[in-house]
Amino acid sequence: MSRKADKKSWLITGCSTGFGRVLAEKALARGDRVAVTARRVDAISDLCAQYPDTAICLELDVTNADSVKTALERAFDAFGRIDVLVNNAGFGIQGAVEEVSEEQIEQLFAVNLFGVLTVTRAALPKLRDQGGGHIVNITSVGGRTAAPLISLYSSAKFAVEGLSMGLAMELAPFGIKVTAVEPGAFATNFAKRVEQPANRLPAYDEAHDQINAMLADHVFADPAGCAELILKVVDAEEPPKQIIAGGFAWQVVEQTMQAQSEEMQKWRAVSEAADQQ
Amino acid sequence: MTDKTWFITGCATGFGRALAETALARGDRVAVTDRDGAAVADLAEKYPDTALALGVDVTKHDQIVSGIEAAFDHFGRVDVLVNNAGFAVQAAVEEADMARVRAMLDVNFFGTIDVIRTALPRLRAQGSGHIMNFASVGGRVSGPLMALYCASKFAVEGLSDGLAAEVGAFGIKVTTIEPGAFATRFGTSAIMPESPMEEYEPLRQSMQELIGNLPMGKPEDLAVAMLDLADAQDPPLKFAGGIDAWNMISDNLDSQRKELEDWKAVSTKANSVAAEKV
Repeated sequence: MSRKADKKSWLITGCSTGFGRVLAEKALARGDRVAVTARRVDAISDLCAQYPDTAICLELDVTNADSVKTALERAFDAFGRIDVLVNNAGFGIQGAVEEVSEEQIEQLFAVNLFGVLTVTRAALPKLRDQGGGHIVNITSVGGRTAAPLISLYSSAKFAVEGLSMGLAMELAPFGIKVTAVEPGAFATNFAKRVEQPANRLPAYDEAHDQINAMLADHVFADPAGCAELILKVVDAEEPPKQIIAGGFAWQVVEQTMQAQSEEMQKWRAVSEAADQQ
Repeated sequence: MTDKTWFITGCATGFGRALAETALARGDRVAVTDRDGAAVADLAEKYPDTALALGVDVTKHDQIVSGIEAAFDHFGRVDVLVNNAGFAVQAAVEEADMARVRAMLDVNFFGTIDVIRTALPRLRAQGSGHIMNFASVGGRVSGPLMALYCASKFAVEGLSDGLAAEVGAFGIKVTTIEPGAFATRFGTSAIMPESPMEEYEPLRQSMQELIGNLPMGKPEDLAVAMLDLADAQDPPLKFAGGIDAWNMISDNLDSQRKELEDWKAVSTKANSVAAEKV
């Protein structure tokens, strides 16, 4: 199958709703080929009906290695190559570290971190064989800066950031790029269906009230804007390693890094003394 | 202010041991813990009035619960909780043995969470405390063949940042410790891949040269700095252990800020259209 520079082949996880779905729609609308994947294929089959020549719909559960392997094989068979692999599947929990159950933490990491690893590791031999590719990991502004009651979600997203940046250096010799895309607040299902903690504690009521009030007032952006950003990133000659999606999130990250720099300066002498060599 | 009570994990060797010895030497009280309780028994013999040696494997919830209970029962309080236990898998993402990666996450991250979750009700009840989580310069700056280790340490950073904001209201402080290269067992005990892939050999060789040439700090010096942090009225959220770590993190922050600036227009445009409904 011949490939024009402007026609890419994609595989995207978690396409039943949110960024995954909007991104698949945008890429298909511009003529790219997309392996649209989700845990339940009936949630995405309309896209294959609409784009019979360029979309394939595949069942893919990132927590199931067999399902990942099968979907990747079918996608590579159908398109001959995958230019862009998007690890998008994920979910969030709003709760204090003390309030979330062990099972919730386990599940959060199973999807948000280990799922990314499973998909990426399964795709790597083929990406190296084809001599190029772009891995896009959807993290969050919460992968750059943490806030109360999303500490565990942030941990998982921070982990994906650390993974992405080391992976980028490992894969550069093979022509494979890696970008972490960090959306702020968009009107995806994520915004309204964040999981609640298993054990609510009165000690954190005030923190919950504050966050809920903030979310209630927040103007959520159209996820199409984030999908457009991802198209720009994958079309770029030199894509960023990390990119924030959203102006408000951008400000928050800028402020966080400013504060980190200031704190480092303040403690520089102590840091220096810690390592006299 | 001196006379602090500590609970430290992973005290058999390295930072944990150096920190326990330094704190005990100045008269602080320390629950010295390790998965191998026998490996820390000598400290309890040397400091019978101020050291409590406990066997705590941070991957075993019941041992964490009994260890935390024993420390609070014995000392009445814990001022500084140090999550130090950890190790590294050094392998490319593609070649790593996932069972080992999981085992690393179990100690470096899930173990840290479990200790914190177990101690928090008591720390909240006493209305103060300082949680120090060992990450690494690798919790701020990732590297090739260390991406999985860095993922575990980035996770600790995210946890600590969020936790600090969550528990500040209860008088509890959180600091992430980010050591650079130190002469601990860490360097020599990093776990190499079981089935190394030829494709990553050039990278492995250049990384080994790099690590072999790093100047190594003394864990005792970092321990002294951590006593300063424990005594500080307003301790930092993050602390680079060593000037090399400081420089790496600072340089990385600069390049991150440059990239953030370079892509500002694209970032900002992404949310220019409000959704009709959520």
